[in-house]
Amino acid sequence: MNLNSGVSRYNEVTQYLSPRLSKTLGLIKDLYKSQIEEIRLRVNKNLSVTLPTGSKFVSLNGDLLENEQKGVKVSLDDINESLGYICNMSIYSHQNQIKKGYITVKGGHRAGVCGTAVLENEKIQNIRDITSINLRIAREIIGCSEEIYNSIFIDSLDGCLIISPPCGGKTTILRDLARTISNNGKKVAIVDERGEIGASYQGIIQNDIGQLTDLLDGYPKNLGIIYAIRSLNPDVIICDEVGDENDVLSIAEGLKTGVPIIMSAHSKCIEDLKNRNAIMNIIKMGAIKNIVLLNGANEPGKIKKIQRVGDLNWLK
Amino acid sequence: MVKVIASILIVFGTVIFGIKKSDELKKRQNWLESFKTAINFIKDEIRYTYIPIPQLLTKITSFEQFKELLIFENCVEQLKNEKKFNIAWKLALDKTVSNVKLLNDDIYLAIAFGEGFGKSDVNNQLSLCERISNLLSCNIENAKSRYEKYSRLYKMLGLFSGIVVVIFII
Repeated sequence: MNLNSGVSRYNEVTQYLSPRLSKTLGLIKDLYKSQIEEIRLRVNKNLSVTLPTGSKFVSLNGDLLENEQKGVKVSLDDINESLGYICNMSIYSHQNQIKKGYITVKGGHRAGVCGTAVLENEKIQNIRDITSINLRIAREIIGCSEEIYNSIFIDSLDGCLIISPPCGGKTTILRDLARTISNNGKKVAIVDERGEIGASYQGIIQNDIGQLTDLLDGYPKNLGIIYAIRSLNPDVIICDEVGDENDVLSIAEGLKTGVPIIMSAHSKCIEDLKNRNAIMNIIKMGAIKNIVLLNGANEPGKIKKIQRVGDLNWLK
Repeated sequence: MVKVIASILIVFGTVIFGIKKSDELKKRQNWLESFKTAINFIKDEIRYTYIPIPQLLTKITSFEQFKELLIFENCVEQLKNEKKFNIAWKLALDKTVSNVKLLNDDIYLAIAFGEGFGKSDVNNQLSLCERISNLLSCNIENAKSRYEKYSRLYKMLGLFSGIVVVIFII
């Protein structure tokens, strides 16, 4: 990803913040802007950003600081005003996302929110009094999935699981895989529950996801997979962050029809998957032929290991 | 001859003035009725599509029946420079009031809508629309009765004041 593209993605995100914070963040040097992964707002705490090297505080003149003493303090008004802009002045149209703890904005960037949970029948109905906002900047790295494509998918499309800890570049890899597979003549259906892969805004898909790709934007994964199989006749389905028991049933359905699914999940190593019941069920039913482990937050999108599931000793 | 022409012109002018005053009452009634329809439209859109405000405003302005309201078009314009909806709405309302003679009660209602719109979840937004719609019904009744009461009065006043002026001149 070049410097300009990184800076323009960063600028896309800062426009969702209160003018005071947006102005301060605009003063950061372009070199850093292109590397910033997250912008963190916490009530009455200092404004901070996350770089691959760790968290830094931001001073009034845009310098990145190790300690918070000269940092810019975030007020409750900053949080409320920013939340309004993130929701496009329409809280009601994002209430289901707020309930789940995130809001996806134009460009596929994600704002994680937390505050006080409003519970009803032990389910979160709403989050009120938002105290933190974590704006994650989505990056589009064209060509970052080439190694995976050439190693796994060039001859045949098989089920695949891409794993890494948070901020490891799973979504970026999935997006590029969709583009690569699609541009190589295969029909791809993306079930984009969080709207991060395609970043559809007012019906326009903003990321390059390929010529033969259909985007099911905002569909819950379990329903989206079934819809895609029923109505889109895809050669492969791509979805982000599986791990729910409901996902297992839909993936089993996909397996019956012979449509492979490429999916991602949070995990810092392959062995950790043993503790994830839903993912173990998916592996055991034969839906995954390869597991791709990414390097993690230090080198987002870089591959650490490609593991054939059939070669895993602990599965035998 | 000059006196006759001047008298006709004076009476004609005062009658037009009376008709204009009467039309203002009708215009207010029409505006309130259209605004209430727009609020009900917004309510349905929120309930069924969760459409965000900027898209909703664009949709409303595309309908011919809401064009005469002006406030939504003005608000879309204001939002190009102002990020906060309630401020953009107030500025749009100021601009609209110069075209339609609204009473203070009507203006307060419109401001109340702008202050609450977009700031809460669907249920609260539906309640807001419902509340504004009910209060608008009262204002519409008031506008209707004012029109019935004063419309003829303004027209007659226009005519008679013209005649009185002419008599004085002659």
